[in-house]
Amino acid sequence: MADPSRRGSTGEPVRNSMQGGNYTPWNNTHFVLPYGLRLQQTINAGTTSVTIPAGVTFVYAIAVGGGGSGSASGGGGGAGAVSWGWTIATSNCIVGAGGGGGGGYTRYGNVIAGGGGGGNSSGTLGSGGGGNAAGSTNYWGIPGGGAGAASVKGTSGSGAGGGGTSVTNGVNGGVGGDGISGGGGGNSQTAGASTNTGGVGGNGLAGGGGGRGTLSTTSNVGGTGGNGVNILTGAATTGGAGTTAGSGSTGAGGGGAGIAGNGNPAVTTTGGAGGLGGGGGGGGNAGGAGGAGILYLFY
Amino acid sequence: MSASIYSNSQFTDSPYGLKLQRTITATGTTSITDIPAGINRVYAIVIGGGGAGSTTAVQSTATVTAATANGTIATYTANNSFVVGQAIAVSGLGISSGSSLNVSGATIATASSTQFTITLGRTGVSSGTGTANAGGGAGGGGAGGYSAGWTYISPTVTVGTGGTGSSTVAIGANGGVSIYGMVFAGGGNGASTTTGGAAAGAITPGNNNVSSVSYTGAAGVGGSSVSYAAANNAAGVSTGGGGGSNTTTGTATASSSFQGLITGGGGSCGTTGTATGGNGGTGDKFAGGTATGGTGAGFGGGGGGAGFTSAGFANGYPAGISTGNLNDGGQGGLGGGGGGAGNSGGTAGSGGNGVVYLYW
Repeated sequence: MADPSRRGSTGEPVRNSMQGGNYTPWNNTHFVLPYGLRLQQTINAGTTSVTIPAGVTFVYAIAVGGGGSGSASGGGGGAGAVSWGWTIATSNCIVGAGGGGGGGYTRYGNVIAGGGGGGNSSGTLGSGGGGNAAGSTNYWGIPGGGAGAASVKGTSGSGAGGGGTSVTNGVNGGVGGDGISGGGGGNSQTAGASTNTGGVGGNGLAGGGGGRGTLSTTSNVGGTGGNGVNILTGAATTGGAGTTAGSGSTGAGGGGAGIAGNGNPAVTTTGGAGGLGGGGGGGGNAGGAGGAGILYLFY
Repeated sequence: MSASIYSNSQFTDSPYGLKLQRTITATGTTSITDIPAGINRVYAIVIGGGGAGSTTAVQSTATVTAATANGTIATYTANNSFVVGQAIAVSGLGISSGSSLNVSGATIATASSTQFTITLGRTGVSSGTGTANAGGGAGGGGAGGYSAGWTYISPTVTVGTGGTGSSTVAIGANGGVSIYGMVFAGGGNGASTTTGGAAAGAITPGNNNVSSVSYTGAAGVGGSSVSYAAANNAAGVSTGGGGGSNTTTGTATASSSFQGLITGGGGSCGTTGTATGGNGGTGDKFAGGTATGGTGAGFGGGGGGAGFTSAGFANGYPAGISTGNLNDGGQGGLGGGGGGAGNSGGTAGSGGNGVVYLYW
């Protein structure tokens, strides 16, 4: 019998273990950090080259797209997609920046994750939709969620849908859908005397941004950003808080949590920035920027 | 840190530590009879053939002696050799009534030897004579699909051929599908006479504007959207071909393909001025073919896309061998690179052949 160690002779351990084993080749496609592998590299946005040691042919990659930004009209931004799997080792990578609009995509080899949708824009390749917009099917073909109707929570999906915009004074904006990547919260922006509260961002591994509340003559409250999960530790990451404002102003939404950092709170009428690792930006008179993407390589 | 592979199902099916044992590049379906006894499953990387680029008709010029437009269609009287679908620019016409009928960036809708028409939302009648320049560029071919996964062994393997480039003005040929056991990848889409071909996922796209679903399940998409397999004007694992330029006079450059693991070919550019085709997309492992430009119809071919196994060829190498004509496209690199577009009657670049790798 060959040495069962992962670092045994090239080819021998896996080949011998497979033959006659009670394992299916497909069970490696669900989301599990591969036991026995070490996180070797964490790569941030802007980096385009990777050095992989000689002899390492395959790498397990977790790619997270940049979060979408919040907007004034559309609510919170959607969270960046999370994709995972084995890929051939290469020396190039692309790690998406957080939006300004839609977030940038992240790719290493054949593992690719889309950037989150900006407020009022749909997600791409597994990312959450911005407020009032649909999420997207992910790398593994898991469907995305639809946008919520007016004031309704977005539908769950791999990339969840954004919450619907409220069209009634005093009714909250729709909550962003929950999924692997959360949808952005919807706005509440109909004039009147009752309090307008933006929708909370959807939860996921990365959370969507909260929506804004505005045009109430009494109180306007921004929605909290959605929560996420630090996938290396299992610990929760939290969305940022929204702000509260009186007549004639805007309560901005908090930034959604990323997989590697908490979302940021809103500042007066500006949405909070999304957390590192794909958090969506909060909605506001000026939308919060999405959190930058990130790339983890295991081998 | 080490772990027992016997007590961990996830680890068991990782490809980590596997060794490349076979590389199959011979196109068509062939037998594999030398997999050792006892090896019943292997990890396969399967790449489809790249799509061919398209090409454009010969650039030409005609004198327009009259023109009229009714708010929907403009009809130009001119003895010409134009072809439907060519980009067209008309200049120098005076106005007898209504709006000017000089145009740029339009497309020929119908053509006979004595007149041609375009779609135009103006009404008017021209005066004097003008000049019509027909040209424009075609699209580069889409990249072949990239699929990877475990499969039971198979006695045969199919490797897709790259689409063959042609000097005929038509949609380029699709690349062929590659298959080993349960793992398969589509051929890249052949380009149209104006836009680039879509990249393949698990199957060959049926439409050059929409890519196909990937082996992992990622959705096929239209242009400008990121996906595993992208259509034109977007990034992905496999990328679509670049579009042609619709400029017919002055300096112009066609679109390049986007970066990917495997990339599409560059578009072509047919202008009377300095014409530069688009580069083949930059691959993670190899470069795309560079397009060298120059003045007039003898230039403007697009570069071939990068394959998984080799670089794309520069314009002037439609079958991987120099023709000395820089209005020919470049061949896509081995391992699914898309072919570059041809220009002004040049030959489009062929797609790169597919390839299959087996690990155990």
